Amino acid sequence: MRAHDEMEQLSALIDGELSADERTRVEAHVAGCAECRRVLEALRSTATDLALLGVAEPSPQDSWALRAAIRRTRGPSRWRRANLAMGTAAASLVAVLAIVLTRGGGTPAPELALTQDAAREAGPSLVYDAASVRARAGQLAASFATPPGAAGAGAAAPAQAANAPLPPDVRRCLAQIKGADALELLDVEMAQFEQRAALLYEFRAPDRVEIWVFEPAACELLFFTQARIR
Amino acid sequence: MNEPTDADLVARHLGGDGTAFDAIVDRYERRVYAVALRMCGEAEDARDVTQDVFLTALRALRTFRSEAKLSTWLHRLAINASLDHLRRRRRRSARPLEEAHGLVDPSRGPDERAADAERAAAVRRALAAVSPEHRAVVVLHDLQGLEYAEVAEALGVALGTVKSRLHRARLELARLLGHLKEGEPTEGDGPLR
Repeated sequence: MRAHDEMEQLSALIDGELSADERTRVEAHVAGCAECRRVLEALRSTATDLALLGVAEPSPQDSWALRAAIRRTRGPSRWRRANLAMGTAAASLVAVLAIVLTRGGGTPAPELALTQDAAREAGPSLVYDAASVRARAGQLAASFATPPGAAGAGAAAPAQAANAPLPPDVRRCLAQIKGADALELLDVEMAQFEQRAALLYEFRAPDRVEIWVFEPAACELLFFTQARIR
Repeated sequence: MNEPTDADLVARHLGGDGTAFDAIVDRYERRVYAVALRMCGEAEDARDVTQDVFLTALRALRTFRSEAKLSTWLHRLAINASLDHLRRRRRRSARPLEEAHGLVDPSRGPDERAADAERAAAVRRALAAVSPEHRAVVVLHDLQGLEYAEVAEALGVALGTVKSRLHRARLELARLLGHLKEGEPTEGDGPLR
């Protein structure tokens, strides 16, 4: 059996990737060429064989590990909007307090830095409402959830509590939170909450995520939500 | 509410919406995993490659051009990460995969299904035996259903290259699977590509 030009087209013929003219030409050739018919048959049998492979699916553990790896990479450094604000004035927003995890030689120590760069990068104003804060709590809790099939609940102790130097106004509101010492502070952010300037505190406990929303001047609690870590 | 398009999700991600990337992962995880598994042959490798792909995508999405299709881009990342993984892999022998999720055809009796499973194992061995470049075109076109143009875009090669490479790959598989004899068809006057 010698390869010839029309034989080279047989895959493209099966795949429907030939032009109408080419297809006519090749089909006419095949009608009179036993070798090409043999190759065509072989290609079809191979296609049937390939179909036996079935669907390749990641296991639940694989899926969990993927999302955990992504979460670790993204880090707790920024609050990300749950949904984009539609038509809200950007004027009132301000700065974003970015928690930057510094990776020194030892354990990481969170420090708060007021960064205009972070504000610019975050885009126009970060605007939240009760629904988006709840959604955020749910997402956070899901990201900490134990992998399926793992023994025991996700009862990992919180990483060392944030001993980082916090700006006074941020610390002041923290004092309103009962039991804040026992919680791991993940993130703090200035944003808008339902048209008011707000500070959002994101905490983790072994079994849940909490989000506290304060009006910073008077440390008035505007909103609170929590979500179970499963 | 309509499903967001890929372009919507990319735009939202670039605009700072943290849920958009999660949605991209949900949408493409299985496709990326499938490419990785069929390229590397082992579930453990497929898991590692899938993670590499999405972590790369997370970093590189900022540079992603909106004219390009997200799905083609992700397929490209998946192939490249698989090829890297294969190159780094010390083991030279291709070990066939223990398949946990094969399709079971209820219309076929138990003897037929056993034969199918054996045949599927042979197909996996054959796939593992062809070169990675040949495997890539078969995976993208025959297994993932991409058209020639998309395969060309994903691999960064010309359409003609996809066409000839795919044809050669299938002939090789056909020989390995016994549909053609060794040396059929001879390469004759045609260029080897």
